[in-house]
Amino acid sequence: MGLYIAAPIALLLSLAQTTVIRNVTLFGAHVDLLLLFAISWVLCRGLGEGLMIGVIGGLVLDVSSAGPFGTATLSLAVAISLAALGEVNLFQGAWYLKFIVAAGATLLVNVVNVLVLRLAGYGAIPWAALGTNTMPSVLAHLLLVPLVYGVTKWLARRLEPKRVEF
Amino acid sequence: MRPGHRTALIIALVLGTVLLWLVLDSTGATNPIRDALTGIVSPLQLVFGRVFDPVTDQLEALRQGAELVRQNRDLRQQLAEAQSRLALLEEAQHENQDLRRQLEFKSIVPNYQLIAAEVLGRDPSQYLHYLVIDRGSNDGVRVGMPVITEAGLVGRISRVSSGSSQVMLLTDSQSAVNAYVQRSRATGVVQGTLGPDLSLEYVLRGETIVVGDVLLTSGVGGNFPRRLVIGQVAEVRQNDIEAHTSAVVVPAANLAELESVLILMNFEPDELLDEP
Repeated sequence: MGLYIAAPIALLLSLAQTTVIRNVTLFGAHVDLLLLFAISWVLCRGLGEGLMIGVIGGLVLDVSSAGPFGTATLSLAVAISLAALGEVNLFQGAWYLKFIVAAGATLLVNVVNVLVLRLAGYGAIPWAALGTNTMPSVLAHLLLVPLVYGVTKWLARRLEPKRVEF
Repeated sequence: MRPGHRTALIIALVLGTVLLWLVLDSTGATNPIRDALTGIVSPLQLVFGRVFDPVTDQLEALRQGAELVRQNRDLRQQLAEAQSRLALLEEAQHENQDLRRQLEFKSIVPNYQLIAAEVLGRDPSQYLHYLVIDRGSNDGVRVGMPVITEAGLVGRISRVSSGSSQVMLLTDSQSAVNAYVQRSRATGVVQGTLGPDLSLEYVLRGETIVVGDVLLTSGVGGNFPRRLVIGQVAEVRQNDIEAHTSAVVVPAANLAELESVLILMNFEPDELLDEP
């Protein structure tokens, strides 16, 4: 049930990411709403649904990208897997978890992006660009994650309860 | 299966599949699937852009709210009804001038066959500066064709599918265009910097470049025709140690806010390559 709601949202966010949001910046930083939604969904609903969101959204991003096909999907999948740490009992429910995950996921997405691009022969992308692009994005995402997480949590609560796995 | 093991298995499966996909992509094996998906996504981007562009315009206005409020207060004090009518007339005149400029541009390059294309989307990666436009191989577009606006050079076609194409912008880190300074005829290479500006490199020491100089395509290398406007020098960087002078160049075309572009259809670049 959750996926029937999350998948269209992911599709819309990824379309927005390649059209209207691409030029939107927060204090000059690139904003990735799809990433924030995906990690928030993982924290609320679990890894399985989160990975599906990552694959659906990542494919749309990859189609619109000039980079190797799969770069966006891979970087999202890696970041979403990090968010699954929230399922570990040690951290579950901690108020700061969403901030840690948002910062870590943003960092991972950028590192994987640059790594894949450089391995694929886009050698002109300097490692320094990673720092100049990533840090402002991390800060922007730290500001936005409470809002995106709040909306996602509200949405998740209105869906069927999370399945208990044994 | 324990939940922990199941989670690890799901992650491994997804990551493994995507990595395999990336390897296959490097061989070109995924091109048909990519083209098919592009055929589905491009129309969605077109619709999405048209529906939500007014919304983002409003959001942009909200973002600049404080400044707009101040401007509004000033304007309310200054403007009377007659002045607002005058503003409307000026707007119409401005539009008229734009259209005339486009027509003149076409007459300056009469030998070029141009087709207009609408911008559907932009590369979602911060590290790649590309556009997606609504013209593809069905319209005769081929890899390598130059893309311009009436203001100047935008980039070149880097990938073509049936109904859409990707354009590598001048600002992309892979972009390099042979150029010359209109005033002094000094030559160099204009490269993308991943930022909003360009970098003019490999200008021999002793050649003069000053702020405000206009850069044009030199045609050397055969990838672009001669005399297309690239941009204007904003800052000259001279180093006593280096053998070359470099400069920061502001692109003539507003690459951040492109909504439509023109493709030079009958210019044959030397590097007009088939797609990988």
